[in-house]
Amino acid sequence: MLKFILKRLLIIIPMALLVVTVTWGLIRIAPGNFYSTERKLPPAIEENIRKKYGLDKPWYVQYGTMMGNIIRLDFGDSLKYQGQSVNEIIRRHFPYSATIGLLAYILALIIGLFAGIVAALKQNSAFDYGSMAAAMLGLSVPNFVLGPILVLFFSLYLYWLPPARWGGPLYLIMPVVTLAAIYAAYIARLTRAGMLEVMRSDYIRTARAKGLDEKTVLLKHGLRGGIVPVVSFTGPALASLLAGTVVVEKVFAIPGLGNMFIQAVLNRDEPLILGIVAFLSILIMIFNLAVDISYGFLDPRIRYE
Amino acid sequence: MKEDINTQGDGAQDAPVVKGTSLWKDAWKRLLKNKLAVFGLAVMILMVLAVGLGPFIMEWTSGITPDYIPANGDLIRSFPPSLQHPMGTDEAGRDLLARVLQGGRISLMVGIISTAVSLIVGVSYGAIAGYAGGRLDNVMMRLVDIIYAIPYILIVIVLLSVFGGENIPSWIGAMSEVFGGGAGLNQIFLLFFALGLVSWLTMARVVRGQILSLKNEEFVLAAKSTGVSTPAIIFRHLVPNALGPVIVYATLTVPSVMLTEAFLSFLGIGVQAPYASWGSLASDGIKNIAIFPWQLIFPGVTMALTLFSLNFLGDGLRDALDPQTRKF
Amino acid sequence: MTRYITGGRRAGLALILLSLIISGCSTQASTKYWGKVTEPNDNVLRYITGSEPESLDPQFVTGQPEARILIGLYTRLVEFEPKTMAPIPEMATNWEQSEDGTVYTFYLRKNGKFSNGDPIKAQDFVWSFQRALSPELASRYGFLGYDIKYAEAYNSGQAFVKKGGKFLRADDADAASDDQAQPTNCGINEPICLTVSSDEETRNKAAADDEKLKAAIEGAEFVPVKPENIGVEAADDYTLKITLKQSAPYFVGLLTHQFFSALHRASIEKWGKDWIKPEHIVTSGPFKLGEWKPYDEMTIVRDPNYWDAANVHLDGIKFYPMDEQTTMMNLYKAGRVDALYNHTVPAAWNEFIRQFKDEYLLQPEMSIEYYTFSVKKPPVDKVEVRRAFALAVDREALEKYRKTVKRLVNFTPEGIFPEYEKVRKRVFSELIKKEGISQEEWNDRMFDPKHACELMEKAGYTAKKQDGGKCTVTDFPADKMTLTYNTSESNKQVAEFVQAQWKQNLGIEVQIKNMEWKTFLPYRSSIEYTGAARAGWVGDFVDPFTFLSQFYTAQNDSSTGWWDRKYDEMLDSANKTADPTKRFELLAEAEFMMLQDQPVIPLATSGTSWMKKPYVKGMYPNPGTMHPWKFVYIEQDRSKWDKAVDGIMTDYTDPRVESQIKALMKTQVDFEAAKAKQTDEKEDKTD
Repeated sequence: MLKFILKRLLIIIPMALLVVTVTWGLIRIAPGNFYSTERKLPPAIEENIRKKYGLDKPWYVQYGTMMGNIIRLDFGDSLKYQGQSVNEIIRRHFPYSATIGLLAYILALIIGLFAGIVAALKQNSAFDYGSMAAAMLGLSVPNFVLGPILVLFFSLYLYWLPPARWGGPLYLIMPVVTLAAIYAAYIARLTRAGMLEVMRSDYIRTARAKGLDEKTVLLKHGLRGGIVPVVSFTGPALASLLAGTVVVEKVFAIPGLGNMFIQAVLNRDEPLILGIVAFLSILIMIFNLAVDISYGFLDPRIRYE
Repeated sequence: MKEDINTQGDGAQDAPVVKGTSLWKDAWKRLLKNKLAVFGLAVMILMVLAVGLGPFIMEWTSGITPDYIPANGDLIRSFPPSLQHPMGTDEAGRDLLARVLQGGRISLMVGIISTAVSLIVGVSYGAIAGYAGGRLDNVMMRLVDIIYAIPYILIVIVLLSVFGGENIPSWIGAMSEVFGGGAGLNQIFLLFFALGLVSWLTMARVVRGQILSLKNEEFVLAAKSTGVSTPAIIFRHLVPNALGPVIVYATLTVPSVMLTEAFLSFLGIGVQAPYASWGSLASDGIKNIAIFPWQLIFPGVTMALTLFSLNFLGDGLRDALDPQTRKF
Repeated sequence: MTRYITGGRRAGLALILLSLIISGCSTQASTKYWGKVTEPNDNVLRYITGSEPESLDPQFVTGQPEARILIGLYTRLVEFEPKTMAPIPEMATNWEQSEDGTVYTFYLRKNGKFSNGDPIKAQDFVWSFQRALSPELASRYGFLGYDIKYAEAYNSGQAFVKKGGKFLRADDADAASDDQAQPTNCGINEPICLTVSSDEETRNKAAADDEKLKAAIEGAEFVPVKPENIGVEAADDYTLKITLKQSAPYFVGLLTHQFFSALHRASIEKWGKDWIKPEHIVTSGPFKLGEWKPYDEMTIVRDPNYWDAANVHLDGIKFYPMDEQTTMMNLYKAGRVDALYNHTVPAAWNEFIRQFKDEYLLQPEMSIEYYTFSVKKPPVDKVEVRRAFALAVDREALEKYRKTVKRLVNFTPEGIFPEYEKVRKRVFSELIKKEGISQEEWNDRMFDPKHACELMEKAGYTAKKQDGGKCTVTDFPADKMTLTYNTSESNKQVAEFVQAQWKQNLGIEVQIKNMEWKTFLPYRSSIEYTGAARAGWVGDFVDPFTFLSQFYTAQNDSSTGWWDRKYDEMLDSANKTADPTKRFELLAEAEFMMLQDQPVIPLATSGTSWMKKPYVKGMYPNPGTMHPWKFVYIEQDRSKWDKAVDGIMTDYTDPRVESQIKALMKTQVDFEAAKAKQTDEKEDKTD
């Protein structure tokens, strides 16, 4: 087990470098560049810019310089935001995304697990139908619709909550709820499906046959197997939540990393794109590793060779 | 509870028949007993008929097309619902019903084609990785991790710009030709595939997780010992057993690709105007919610109703196809 | 099952409730203001200027959002007049220009100070201008200074040509005449020296098809153009002399641009690229940097060291960077920001928002929307086809649809340059007589489907006549014609409208195609496209030349491929003309000539379309939405709040702002009066 974790941890580094390389290639294939604006630049000015940023050198030299810097964990300066280093930008904007992402996931987990488990146990009951209908509503309403509707009601009609920006806890309520809705719905449905599946399996029948009381069967055996799909969903979901969800950041004008990243792609801000991609890829891979490890704990049928 | 009793009853009746009804026929029967699923199916059939035939009927009866902007400048504005325009008009004075119907075509196709692409790629990939285990599994899953970490927006931008315009692959061009063709539609079809190609990753992970937990079960060992070939074990024994979560996840993929498409349209790399999708209509409508609420309500409700029905149908399918239930 | 239906009913009920709330919101509008308006409790303006600023380096940034912040942070020689955007004294108390219009002398005030207390002298401007133009800074706005002597040569890394200890003159390459004295130095007062590329390869390439240039550079020595060579010098600590390569009557107006700000040399040299960090930055304007939380909020506060600090009314300004229009409108409605920037109110909202008369500002803007043609590629390589497409767009309907814009058929915005428009009207009516165009036909340029169909036939296509002068062109290669635009809600609306117009009036269904911004830019500027592409142009300074210059020189920025040597000559001769009316006549002639070739379809003059709370005063919907912040103040007294702001530019004046402007103008007005008197006296003497 320990060897497995160590091996996976070590492999993250070359993988992140591979991700960076592929991304770099994609940026170079994509048309447009960071300095283009509405007006066409005189050739002399364009040349000045290319010289300044080393774009006049052959591609392998540029690639080499970039990789060399990245290995030293120096992503350089953003091309769009003058004088701001990529590391500084990530350090500054990640906490915003992480805060709302984490809060949203906790909220989603609480609601989703509770609703899913109860719905599975009381299959076809009013609660089952009600919560699953609510979950479906959650899945059917896009967050770019939900967010503005909440704003309309709570900020522009009742004037209770601030409609956007970052501030105290009051500012967090609507973004977190907007973000959590769809995840809570996912989790509720996955939990219910997983639980139903497990409750019909042989080992649960065995447990029941052994005469264990229903509560123990459910919580000790059922839940462990039943939430496997939830766990495998959690890894990527949490990673993307921590990285920020662009729509919510846009609607509520939150200075998170997700919006920063979209802007970087649209601006062709190469160092910033690469920096965020490297950071997120490491984050995602660590979460995925955690998911794989937790499989072993949750489901005794899974073994790691 | 009713359903469970019924399925058990079915099982009991079917038991004596040796060959019996086929797996699919059986599932179909079960599905029809699930009223919610039937409701979902009915709505979906109606929806497909409406978006498929609706635009033709509208054009034939009233001459209204989704991209018709009135020549009279005074009519170019958003009118509330009326007899002539049951869903009102958008800011350009275009009939919203016609646009919702046409948008439905695009949205349903996004959902179906992209999910199909992601299903085919994701299920086979995840099943192979999960079953093979060891080094192959490791390499395959690391590849998924790598692709996962590359921002899909970048992939979509590159795919659309490299294969867009004149470089459109001929088979995509041929597909869009069926629906009328043209540069705008080609781009939309390209988008379907691009979306499919970036959304199979989670599916692969879900399937792999299922296969991992199933492959040590007795029925697999039994199949192995009777000399069933590896592909047959994967695709005839393991995959059907993992179908429950796969179908649930696929029904989740449909709305998520629809939303991704809406988001991309919002960023300007999605559906080409004057075409629209429900997502893009809703994201346009949300901006005007305080003034022209019908611009959000109609496309929004239509989209929500469709996703609702899809989810009911998905649940029904899961119950109907679940091989575990059949064992009883 | 029944339970489910109840659930559905409940959802339906919720929807009805929701729509009630929504309609409640819109009907509630009978109140005077849109959303929350409370008495301001401090003297700080909360403003949204658009996206996150790229940088605080005024010579580097190009965007409007940044410009609005930076004109508060840095001082320039001249400031905008808040209503007209005309130049008024700022660091320069007064200025004069030489007879031929090529030399400007600025007299600086002696109490100018940087935010750290250092005095601002003429040398600071010299250094700042040199920095702005240096190839190392690689500013995208470098070309703004190209009117200054040798600015372009220095910015593009060129070199002087030296032969036998003497420099070649620029006119030597054209006509080598021996009687011209060759300078031994290429300074400000000498005739213009020849400059060529420092790079040998580029130089030889240019000389390959130019015999005279080849002869000129043969065996010559090349001396790189240095910053000192630029036509900017400090005659003394408080006198700045700027020499242009040729006269440019708009030059003083251009100096209002943030590119020409005064920067603090010592701190920039000390900190390098980190000089813009809050802990190092030294500014020169009425405000200095307070707190800066990128992507969240930037605060600028009144700078006590500013020479005119006593007349800066606001304690500070908070800028909230953001991109989503809807979010901005929400913050405004909730009373959390006091004012917005231009185009924040969507066109479709106009009819609704217009009723809030004390808040909504809609005035024409110094910016136009148009479509470019790729004039070298069929099918739009024929001028008849281009004119047919231009005539087949009903601009009146477009104006009704978009509501915030004004119809446009010329290439300069309507309602921004009133003097020029007067002259242009006269010149155009003379020219159409000459060309044999009837006044009626000329007036119908706004929309004339009949003429468009005739033109299509003239171009060799078959046009089947329909009702109302419309037609169906049957054999037009519509598949070769796309209409490309960069993604935005309003661009999409216009493109869909124009596409529908062509379909209805000409029976031609062109493809429309949207592109993400950065993909679109190289696509359009390299003129790869066939058909038409969307373009917009915002003037850099208040003069028609900022629009007409788009077709100036063979490498012009018009993205059409259209260029005519005669057009360049017309603009050159206009700019050499000192008399404003005469100059406008020449510019109008050039505009006419270009329009006759129809390389573009002008569509609309944009409108400002933004809102401010009634207590914000001294902010005007001027043609560039640039607000010189020292005129802005917050009025605590409810009775003095702005009312009916649609008349803010014409119907009433704000005495507080007027007297402030008058006080500032005084130095220049007095100076000009004194000068006029002097020349009068001189003339009297000679008489």
